[in-house]
Amino acid sequence: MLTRILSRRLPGFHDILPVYAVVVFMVYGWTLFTYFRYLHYWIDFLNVSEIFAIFCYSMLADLAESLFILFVLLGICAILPPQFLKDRFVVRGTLAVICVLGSILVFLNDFPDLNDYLLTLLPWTAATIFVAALAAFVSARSGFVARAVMWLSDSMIIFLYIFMPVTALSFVVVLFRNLA
Amino acid sequence: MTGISRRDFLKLTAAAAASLGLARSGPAYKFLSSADGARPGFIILLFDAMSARHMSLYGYSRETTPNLERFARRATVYHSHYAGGSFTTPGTSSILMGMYPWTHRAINNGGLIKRSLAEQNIFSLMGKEYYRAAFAENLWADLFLRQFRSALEDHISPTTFKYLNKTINPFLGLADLPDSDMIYYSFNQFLLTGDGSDPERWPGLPLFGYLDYFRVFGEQNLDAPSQEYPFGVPYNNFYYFKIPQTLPDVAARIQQLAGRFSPIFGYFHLWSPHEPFRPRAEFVDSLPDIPILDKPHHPLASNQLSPAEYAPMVKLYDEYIADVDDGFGKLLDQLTAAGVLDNNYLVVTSDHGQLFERGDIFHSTPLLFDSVIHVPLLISAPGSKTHRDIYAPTSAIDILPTFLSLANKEIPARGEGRLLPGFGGQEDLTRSVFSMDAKYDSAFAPFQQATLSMVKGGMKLIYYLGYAAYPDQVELYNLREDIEELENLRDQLPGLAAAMKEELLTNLTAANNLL
Repeated sequence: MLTRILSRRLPGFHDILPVYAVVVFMVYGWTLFTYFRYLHYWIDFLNVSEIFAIFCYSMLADLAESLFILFVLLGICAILPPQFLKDRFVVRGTLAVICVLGSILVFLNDFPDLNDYLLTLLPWTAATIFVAALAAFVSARSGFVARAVMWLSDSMIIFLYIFMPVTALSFVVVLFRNLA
Repeated sequence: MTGISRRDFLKLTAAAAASLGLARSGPAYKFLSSADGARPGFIILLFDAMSARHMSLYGYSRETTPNLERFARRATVYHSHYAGGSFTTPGTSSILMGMYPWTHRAINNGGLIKRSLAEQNIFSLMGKEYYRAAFAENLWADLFLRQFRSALEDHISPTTFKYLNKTINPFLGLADLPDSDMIYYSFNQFLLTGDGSDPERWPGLPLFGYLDYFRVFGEQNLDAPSQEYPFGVPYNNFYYFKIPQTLPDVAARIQQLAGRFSPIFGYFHLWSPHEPFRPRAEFVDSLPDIPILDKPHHPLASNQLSPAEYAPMVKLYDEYIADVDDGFGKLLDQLTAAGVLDNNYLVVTSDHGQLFERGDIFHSTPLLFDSVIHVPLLISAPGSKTHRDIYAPTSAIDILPTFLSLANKEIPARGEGRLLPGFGGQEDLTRSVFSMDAKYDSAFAPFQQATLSMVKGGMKLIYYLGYAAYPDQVELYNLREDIEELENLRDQLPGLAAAMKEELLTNLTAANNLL
């Protein structure tokens, strides 16, 4: 019964994969970007294997965060009627992910110090959700945007082939460091 | 029926949990019972960032430490005791390693001890005859405990005595995993927001890092003035704590350990009176106003503040010390009543001080004036009822060899400390004692930019190595006649300045050669 409901409400694997690839690209990409910014700090007192260990923990954390984002998206998909998200999951899911994560990255980039959180964090969050919803449900009606988004998400699948093996290797390293 | 308060319930729960923890780890080791314990126990109580210059025990005009003075009646008090460095990392590691920072190389913000030396830490050297327990509320100090985890029977989680979380960080308590130091760097300093040492560092995880920013909602609540805490509840970077709860809980933990195991070696590193200075209401405005000396701004000062600007901070710091001292008084009474001090040494010290002068404040400064490196050291022997004063210069690195000697253990040749006078050592007024700051240098390379200080025979030399704004400069002060370090005698006593500099550089070169 539940399986039948879920299969009716959730998109297929071939639709999930490109959306997840976009999530992976953005999450892993940001982590790598910040990791290299931290390097100059760590390099003063951590050796190469320790800096590599941080990389491995980061990859595993990225896997957790990217799966969390995907499951939230699939959760929304399961709640909403199919025509809202499931039927155009690749386009609408990709746009929502780009808007939400993009907004967060801009926020982290521009507002690292939060003294007036009421004027920044809350409006920013509300605006992000609104823009993501708008982008997902309005822009997807344009054929050009839909084709562009689908091309983009398909192109991102290559990053799964890069980051997933790296994550698997990281898992082995982390396991070894904590069992040794 | 007598009701049980929430506080009592929490205490009982904590005690039960602690007992379970001890019971679990107990059978793995063979410890002497209290009855036949031939070796003395040791308890180190470290108050972070407590400057001796702000303690009435050492002659400060504000009465900040009446309870430490009460403790001093049964203790040996060191009046010229110096930290190894000017902030947590070098200050703490020098105590735990018995070496200067130029040797153990824990010199950076949140740095680690040189891996090849880490096994020579104080816990490891005390050996398995001791039940070794350690707690650090300061996460940079806890990093060392993570590094030494194999030498600890009980690494008490840094969150054990917290009042409330300040940040969302589920990984903070994971202190006992084999790779816990790298877990700390990964999650606490990088992935889930930085640790506050550099606001330009972004969280490595975008969504979880963003969600972590929502901590400000909770933070606002406890940072807001309240009747009990007019400046908000004190916190370290990760959680809030209340001194009237933390110190009795620490005392209860020590009492439990001492009652169950003998001998014990306990290290308890408390965050206060580190900034932010947040005394309880009863201590606010409890101390008189005093004039703040207007010392000339230093070329390397990180700030350009005037005495009028830091006078309120000094007052708040002093009031916070008085608050901490009050908590210490209660801890002392608790331990005394339980008889813990009858068969254990109790040491009170600090890893570094605080500085409010020459335009600069706190301890993230390259300046090494006495306020930031002159720290308290009081040691009471088991059952001691007598007081003794030591005026010869001593260093944080002396604690390790002294304890090893008192415990009938071998002192490693590589250590740089001496036996403390009063506990096997002799008072040597001509001895050289060093402190240093090189937080932006590499731990793996010869020093390029550092401040080094040397105290000898009542004179103090400060040497500034490699600063573009103050290149190769030397300052020389007579601490006996000029305690405020106002008159630079470098040009009046060039021979002495050159000789002291040469001795300092000889030591530094020898340490660089060990790399």
